Amino acid sequence: MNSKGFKLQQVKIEGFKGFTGSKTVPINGKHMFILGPNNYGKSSIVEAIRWGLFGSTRRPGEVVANQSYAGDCRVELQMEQAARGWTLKRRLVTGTSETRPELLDKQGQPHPLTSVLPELVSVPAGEGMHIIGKAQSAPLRRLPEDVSPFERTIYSYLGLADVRGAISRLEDFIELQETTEKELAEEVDKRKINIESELSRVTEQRDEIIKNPPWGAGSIPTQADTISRIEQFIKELSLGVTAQSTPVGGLELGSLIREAEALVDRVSRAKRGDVESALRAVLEKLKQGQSLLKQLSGLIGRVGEVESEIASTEQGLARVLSGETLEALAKAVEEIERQVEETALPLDIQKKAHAWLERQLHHPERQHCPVCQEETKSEDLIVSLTNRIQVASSQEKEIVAKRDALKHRYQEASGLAEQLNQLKTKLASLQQQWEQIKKKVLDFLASDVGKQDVGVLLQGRIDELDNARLTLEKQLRETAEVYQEWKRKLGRLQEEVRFHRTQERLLELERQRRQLYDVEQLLRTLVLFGDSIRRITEALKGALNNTLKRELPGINKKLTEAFVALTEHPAYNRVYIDDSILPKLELRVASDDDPLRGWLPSQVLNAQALNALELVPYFAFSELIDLPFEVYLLLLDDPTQSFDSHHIEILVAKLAELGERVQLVVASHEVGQFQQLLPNYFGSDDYMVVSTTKWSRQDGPTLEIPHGG
Amino acid sequence: MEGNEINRTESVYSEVTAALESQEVRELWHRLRSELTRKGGGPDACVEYLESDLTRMKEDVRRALDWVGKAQGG
Repeated sequence: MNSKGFKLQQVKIEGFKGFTGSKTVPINGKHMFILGPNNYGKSSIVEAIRWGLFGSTRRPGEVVANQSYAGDCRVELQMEQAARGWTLKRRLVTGTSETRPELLDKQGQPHPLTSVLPELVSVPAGEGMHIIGKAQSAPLRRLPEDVSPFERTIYSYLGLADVRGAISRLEDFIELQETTEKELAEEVDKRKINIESELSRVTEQRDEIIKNPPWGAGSIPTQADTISRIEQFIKELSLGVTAQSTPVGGLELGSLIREAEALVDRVSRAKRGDVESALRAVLEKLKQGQSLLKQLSGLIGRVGEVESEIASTEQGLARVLSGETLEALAKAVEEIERQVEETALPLDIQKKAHAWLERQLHHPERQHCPVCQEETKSEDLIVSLTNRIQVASSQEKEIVAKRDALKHRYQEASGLAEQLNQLKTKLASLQQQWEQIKKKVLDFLASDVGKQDVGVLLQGRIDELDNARLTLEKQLRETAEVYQEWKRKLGRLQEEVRFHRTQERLLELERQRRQLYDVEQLLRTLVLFGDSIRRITEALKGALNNTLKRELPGINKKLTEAFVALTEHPAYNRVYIDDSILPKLELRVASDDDPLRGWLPSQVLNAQALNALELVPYFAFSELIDLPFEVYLLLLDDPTQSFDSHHIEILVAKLAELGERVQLVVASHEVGQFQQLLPNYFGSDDYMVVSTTKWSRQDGPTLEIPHGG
Repeated sequence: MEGNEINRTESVYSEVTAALESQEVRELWHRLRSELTRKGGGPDACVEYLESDLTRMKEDVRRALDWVGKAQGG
């Protein structure tokens, strides 16, 4: 076995895949065959060694931590190289897929992995090939992902990994280049379209202005002409309003037209504001006058009514009194009342009682008589009293009747006198109101006039105000017309300014068009650069293919020898690399019977032969390698799937040949076959068998390791 | 690198040089070749070199475009 490489002495595994608590497998630099039924943890050991070395398993990205184990996931490999011991520890960082390798020498001193095992850190773990491939000897590079493990082996073996890698990277770069070209070209086109479209739009605007020129029939004005016109407009406008010109010298076109716009608005607002304010005052005054006039008219009406009522009441009173006074009438009533008491009191009482009972007639039940103090019916009493009244003397009757007439006259006269007093009070109140309104009217008219003139004067004043209103409204209309005229003049000047703006914009757009031409030149340089890369890549591919075509016959020969030895296939006895799809490298199988026709292996080989074909590169290239990889180890997980007994023996024999140069770690479920064959092909000190006899979730695999390893 | 490997790679590179007719493309290839073969270089370094050129050219175009854009905006 090669003595330059690192040899595996021991592997310690914890929490990795099927493993739980820490288990140690001593190897002592021998070949290790892990034998046992499927699912008993064989693959976990092979993958643990691979993960310990490369930080990745055969299937990158897979979960390696035992999910039902609470402890760490770690692998520790003890190796030896030229009698120096090394320990490579790798631990999975909890909760991540990152790993932390640590390389220690025999004294426990840490060393950078890159300085002791530079090849190891530069190769991927995906395939077993790299372990023995000379290709991975320095200077090793990671080939791109689109290059298959088989291609990696061939290119590495030929020392053309850089060329293949460069082609792959350049192809990626060309994609980036093309995306960039497309993206920039689209942007330049977009910008170009924008400029052209705006050029067309602005030209149209300018032509539209020229078609109906705001400057009239004269020639197209220069900016200086327009500036001068705006300045003149501002002067006229400001003089007309403030008798003072606004200083505008030195302003550029934009500021000047903005100044003119602001001035037109300002002046218009000021003029209109004065008239509007006067009109508002007149309208307010008018409203006030009309309100006073209404109040005044109402009051005059009410005074007339009360005066008329007073006259009518005075006439009524005079008629009732008939020349007497109210006091005399009161005395006459007093006198006749005394006579009634003296001469006709019973009759008076009977008549009063009779009148009272008449009022009580709606109570038919018995009443308590206020005269006789007996319980009796009203009808009976009325009849009784009527009889008595009828039989009274004519003198008594006459005096009572006279008293009743006099009393009635007095009551009527008293009522009219009271009514007269109330009317006079009301008249006094109206007169008081009149005085108040008169004062308001006088204030309104701002003059002192007699009572009879107030209404007339007020109406006259209102008429005056209405005339003022009409005048002001007319003024307002005239102001609006003047403003419109200014606006028209301003509009023409604005249009002139717009014309100059479109001219400026057109010049600017022409300048941008020229700039865009420079951008297109820069883009052309970028595209030419891309073309150069494409030509270089094509030339590189051509030169690589030429070299491959020269080298492939030798490689095909070795591949065929290994394939024939492993499979002894009766029909397909040739293996070669298809040179029609270079620099892609794919295996084909063929037969001597029909040497010109090649087949995809999966089309014609059975499972056993396909598995054997996968192993072919290990055997073919290990013989070709002079300088080994630094860890010269072949990891094979169940290589005999679908193999019959005869071919298992062939494989073991080839492994024994390979074992002369390489340390082997091989897992297989063919327990009986291997146990029987291994002593025939390997010296007893050169190998060890680790048996996996059981597996449980709690304890992981149960390993039977021979004493002393 | 083994002598044989160097020979193969160098042979491929020389063949590329011979195949390129344009002086401009050949100059670019010489720069790439020196990136590929220098110590610490290789395909990654070679493409990094190209990417830096592409980025520079892209920025030149974009800057010029932005300038036109600004003028358009103004």
